[in-house]
Amino acid sequence: MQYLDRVRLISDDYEQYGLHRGDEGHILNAEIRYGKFCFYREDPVTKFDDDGVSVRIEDLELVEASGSSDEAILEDLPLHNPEWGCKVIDGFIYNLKGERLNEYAYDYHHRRIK
Amino acid sequence: MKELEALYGKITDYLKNGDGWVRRENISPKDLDVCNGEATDDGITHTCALCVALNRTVFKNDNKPDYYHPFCKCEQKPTAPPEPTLDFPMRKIKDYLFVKKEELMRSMGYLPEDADEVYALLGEGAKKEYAEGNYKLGFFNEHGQRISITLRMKGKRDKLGKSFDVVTGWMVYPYGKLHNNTPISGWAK
Repeated sequence: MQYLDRVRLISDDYEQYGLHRGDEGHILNAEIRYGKFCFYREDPVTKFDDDGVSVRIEDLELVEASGSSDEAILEDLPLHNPEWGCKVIDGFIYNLKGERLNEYAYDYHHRRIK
Repeated sequence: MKELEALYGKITDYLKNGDGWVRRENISPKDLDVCNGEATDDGITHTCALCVALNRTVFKNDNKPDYYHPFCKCEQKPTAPPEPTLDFPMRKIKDYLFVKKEELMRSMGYLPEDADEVYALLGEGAKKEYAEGNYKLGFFNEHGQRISITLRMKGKRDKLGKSFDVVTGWMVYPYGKLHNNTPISGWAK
């Protein structure tokens, strides 16, 4: 799961933001902040995006990969810093230096993770 | 009583600055740029995350975020109209708008080879409209104040002669910098 991927919300915790389980949308910010991606819900009728909401990684599932390259992601990371966590593969968060940022798979909220 | 104080503050503020531009400032060295897009409390100057998120942002005095709290240290300083800069990755046009929203773009007559044109249209259009005060305030949190800007896109190819009013979504960063959230978030109503 990474920048520009199409993803689906699999949690009921975001009703206050008008997001419902099963809503689909895209990740439109390259970086992961505090174990969350910025999710932009796509209106199923108009196909336009709503405002972005920070959603925990474990509350999203991949629908369609964008195939964004590392160079493309780096270009859009804050300050083009490769140390930002930006990819989730098999429960692990990676930065563009190839470093794993969580010790245990699917534990996205360890205090050491930025 | 608090409501009255807030109302009094708003009235005196308006009388002082009219409908000119103001820059919100507090004593914290932190702002949205310094915090890389997510404001946090400044324990040294005792500035809350939301005031950090608005620090040094520029708005029209009669159309600015209304966030204040007791003992708020923020001030509104009159300033010249902003000369906006953009944080607007081309990828949001080429790899997103023309890939994930291709149908929408086609409905206005635009094809992927028009990406540069669309980028310029949205970017330059947003700068111009923001500098003229034509924006609508949206949701506000520690990521910043969102604004939406309506832009007119002229139809191309089979849509030639038609025009489309689209809404673009932005986050206001310090000193008039606009960070793009969504290149097109809807039709203007």
